[in-house]
Amino acid sequence: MNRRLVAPTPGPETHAHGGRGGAFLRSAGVRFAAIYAALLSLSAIALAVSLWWATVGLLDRKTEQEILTDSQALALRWDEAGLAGLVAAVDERLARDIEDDKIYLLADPSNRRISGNLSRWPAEVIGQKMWYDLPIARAGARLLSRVAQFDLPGGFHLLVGRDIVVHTRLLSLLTGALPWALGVVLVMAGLGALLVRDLFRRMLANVSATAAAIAGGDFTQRVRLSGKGDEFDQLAETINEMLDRIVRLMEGVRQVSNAIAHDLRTPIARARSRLEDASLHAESPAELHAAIDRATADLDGIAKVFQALLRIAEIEAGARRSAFAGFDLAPLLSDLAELYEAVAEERESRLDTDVPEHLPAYGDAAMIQQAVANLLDNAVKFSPTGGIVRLVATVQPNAIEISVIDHGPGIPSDDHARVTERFFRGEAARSTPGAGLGLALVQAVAQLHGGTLRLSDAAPGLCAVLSLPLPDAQPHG
Amino acid sequence: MSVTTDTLEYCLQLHGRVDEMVRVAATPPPELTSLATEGRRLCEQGQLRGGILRLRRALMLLLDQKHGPPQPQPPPLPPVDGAGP
Repeated sequence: MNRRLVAPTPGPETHAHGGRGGAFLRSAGVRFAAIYAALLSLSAIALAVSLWWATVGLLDRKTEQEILTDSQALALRWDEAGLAGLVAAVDERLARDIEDDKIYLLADPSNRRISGNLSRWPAEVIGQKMWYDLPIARAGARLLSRVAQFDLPGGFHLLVGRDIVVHTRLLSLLTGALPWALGVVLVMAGLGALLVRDLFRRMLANVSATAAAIAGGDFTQRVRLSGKGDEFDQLAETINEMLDRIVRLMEGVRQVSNAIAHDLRTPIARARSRLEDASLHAESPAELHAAIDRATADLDGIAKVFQALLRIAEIEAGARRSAFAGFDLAPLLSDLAELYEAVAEERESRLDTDVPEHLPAYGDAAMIQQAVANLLDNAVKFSPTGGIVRLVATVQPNAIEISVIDHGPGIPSDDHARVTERFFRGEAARSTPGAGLGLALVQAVAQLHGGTLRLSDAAPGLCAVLSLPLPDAQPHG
Repeated sequence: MSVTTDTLEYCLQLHGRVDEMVRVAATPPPELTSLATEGRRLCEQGQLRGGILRLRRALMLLLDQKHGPPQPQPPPLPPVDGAGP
């Protein structure tokens, strides 16, 4: 019988360019506010839908399930007792309808009434597999009844239904409250959107004002921190660190520019003076040539300074990293020691060397040799008569350390951090030749190789330690 | 569209059925007669809904007695409100 009685399926940006309006719509604050309002509205709609699903929808589904169960029972009765049995079952159900909410109608193939509590077949019910909400009058009251048609063998039709008064009232209550709820949501969304926009503007105003001040040339301005430690404070800290870094870099550029201008002005002026003097007063070609040679020597010194500056820049840019290879540092240090022993002897001092037989290293051999030469040159240059300069190389657990120790005047500890800046010259170095670029180059070489340059007081004198990572710790290739 | 189970005709038909079952019952419950009588009286006074409800209660009591298994206690009767066509 079930196969013959088919149950119905349970029921159911605008782009603006120019003008104030365009600027308003392009504002990020307005966009955030609109997103907030949209999200709030969507949440309210989702809440309303879930409320409907949990109340009216639940009652509807329950009613429809009850009708389906009832129809299945009646179909079974038809199978057992035929038309007479079904008529009796319908009458029995109506007689026991304490809730007074049931609808039954059994009709023949011509839709003429056989049994049930409707006088005729409703015109709007024209087929099964659908639910119908039928307006009916019961005991003088007009109400709705949800009904479904079930077809029986022989062309008979059965209508089963239930009053849905409670559903209707609940739905009416919800739909009546909907305009008010919608109004409240719109007001809340509007207020919230204004609040979000204002908050966004206030947060950005601080950053914007600082950026405007910096753009205007006031590099002392910094973004204020609220102290809450939130994302905006983190952003402010990052911006302030960036500004500090920019100021330091600009200061460095300014110092280097000043140093270049200052240090090169004297030799250029001297060369010019010599050439001018020779041009005006040379009495023989020999005197003229001698003046030109001296001026050329001065200009060679200037060229060396520029070469050193370019080399440091090249090293800092990491352009030489592709030339890195493994090599034995020991023979290079021995060669340097041999060279500077002679220089030390000329200055009536001594160079002691303590270098292992083999010192495997990784990097640019010529560059490291240049860095150690700069350290030895400084040490010998500042070593007093009879002083001892020591060159010591050791292998530490993670690094090769090349130490150059002298007993000269040393460098005050306050200047240790600045001595690697370009053109920096300490008090003791003012009277000695040089441009103040030697330690800057050593520092650049150390950083390029992932190492460090450490300076400490040798009491008396200076201890400079160039530390380079072991080959195993280097990223080969 | 009107239902046909809120009419005097249906009420009298239901009362006739109850009356018939009371007659054949061996020991009808004591409140059964009063329910049936009151139901008919209300229907005749035009209070069809209340009358039919009482008759349906009486029918339920009879069927329960006939078939044996205890049924859940029905809710109390509403006061007579005079509702009717």
